[in-house]
Amino acid sequence: MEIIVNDYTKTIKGATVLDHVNLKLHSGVCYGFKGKNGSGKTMLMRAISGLINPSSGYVKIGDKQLGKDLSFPESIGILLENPAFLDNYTGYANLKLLADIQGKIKEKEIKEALSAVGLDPEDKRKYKKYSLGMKQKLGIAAAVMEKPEIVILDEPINAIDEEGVVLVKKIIFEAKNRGAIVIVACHDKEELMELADEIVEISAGKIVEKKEAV
Amino acid sequence: MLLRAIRYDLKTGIFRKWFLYLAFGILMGAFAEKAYQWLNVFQLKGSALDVLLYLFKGNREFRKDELEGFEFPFPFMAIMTLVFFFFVYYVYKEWKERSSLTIPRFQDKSIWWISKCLMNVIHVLVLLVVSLLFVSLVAMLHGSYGLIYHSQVFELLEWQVLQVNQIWIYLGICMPVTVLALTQLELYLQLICSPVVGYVIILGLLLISTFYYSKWIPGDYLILNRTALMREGGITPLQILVVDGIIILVTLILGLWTMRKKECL
Ligand SMILES: Nc1ncnc2c1ncn2[C@@H]1O[C@H](COP(=O)(O)OP(=O)(O)OP(=O)(O)O)[C@@H](O)[C@H]1O
Ligand SMILES: [Mg+2]
Repeated sequence: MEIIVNDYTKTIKGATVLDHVNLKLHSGVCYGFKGKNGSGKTMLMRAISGLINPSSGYVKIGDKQLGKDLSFPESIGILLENPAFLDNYTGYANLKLLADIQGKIKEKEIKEALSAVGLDPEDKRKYKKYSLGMKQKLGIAAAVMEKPEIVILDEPINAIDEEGVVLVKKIIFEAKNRGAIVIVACHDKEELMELADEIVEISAGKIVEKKEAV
Repeated sequence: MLLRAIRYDLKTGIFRKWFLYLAFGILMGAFAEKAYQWLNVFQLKGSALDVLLYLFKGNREFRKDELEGFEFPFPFMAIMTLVFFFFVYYVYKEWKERSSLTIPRFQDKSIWWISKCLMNVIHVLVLLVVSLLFVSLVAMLHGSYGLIYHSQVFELLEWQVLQVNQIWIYLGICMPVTVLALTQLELYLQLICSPVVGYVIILGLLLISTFYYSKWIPGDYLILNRTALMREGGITPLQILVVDGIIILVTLILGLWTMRKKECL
């Protein structure tokens, strides 16, 4: 499968936040979005997820165009900035609630996803008692638990400790291995180099460079 | 998919708020208890039905020529403040904060909105059951079982129920449907502006209704003495259901239309 972003422009209240973006993303590859604050990394992720509508241009998932043949990619897991989980639910209960919407996975897979990010599936603490890093880990688990074909992780590791980063790398590796398209945005250049196979540099809503990570 | 969406909203919107339903029940029970104390002074025996009618009888509207006539209906406003508090932030937060988690899983923004509206129907049914339950409970503590109407209670109030056979049409249909319509309006306002605005507009409507009698302001439909049940020429069930129906339909359709363009930012 591939994702095609074709001449995608998005203006919000007169400001151009994505400017004629062209991009082709392939299965089994992890793309790293790089760029300054406000350059448009998160916005491009929203565009690919179908969460915003283009002012012009389009996104195609396989041969289906978002907003025309499809509202949202059929199989996608998203972690954007700060997702709001329910304060009074445990991590597991939060994921269960989300998983039950589609009913594709059961208790076993949810617990596996929690373990994979280094959270204890049996932890009885409520989400509001979680530390920042734990919250971020739960966000990653929510994005990958259903083993989607597209995985989008917006700054997944900025609050996560070294041990956790190793686990995230493993998760990304596994996702690529099963043929998923993975997109990661990250501030730390070195970390991004390690996570991603290809670096997409964005500046002022434009893609300025696309190259292999070394 | 719609079924799964409703199940999600039941869990996050309704089950999670069980304590508010409990608070609502206790509030209704407390007002019922107060009503009984008042009835006891006159050594009258009232049923749960009498108490419900008494609680929602409402006040006489404000009239310039009668200085003594207006009494602010604190119990009514207290109950309504709570009734419309349940979902003050729900739609707003579900969209603003949780949509990136939920919407791609629902795969459809229309389903998301329809499900919120259907959740509201269940919410209103729960409110109805909870009120009946708690008021009946208090009635039982006062030795009254069953739901029978006693005209003596209302003679004392110098009010009378004009159409005894229609009491349940008002209590069981018109009032719940009005709450449904107003809550749906509240939910819709959260989609297009801020949650607080929605809440304030609804409470504002109810406040206006306590002062003025109008057949077109839905707040009046929740005040029984403005309706044909207790007033000659008052608002009829047909009128109530037509206006409520229009509100429900229009907000449902406007919501769908808003959702089509709405972005998750
Ligand atoms: N909700 C919003 N409404 C309007 N404009 C927005 C909104 N969110 C972001 N923008 C604008 O879009 C542009 C791109 O923002 P975006 O969040 O994509 O940046 P980013 O590259 O993810 O930055 P960061 O590194 O800080 O996460 C910015 O100019 C920002 O002001
Ligand atoms: Mg960002």
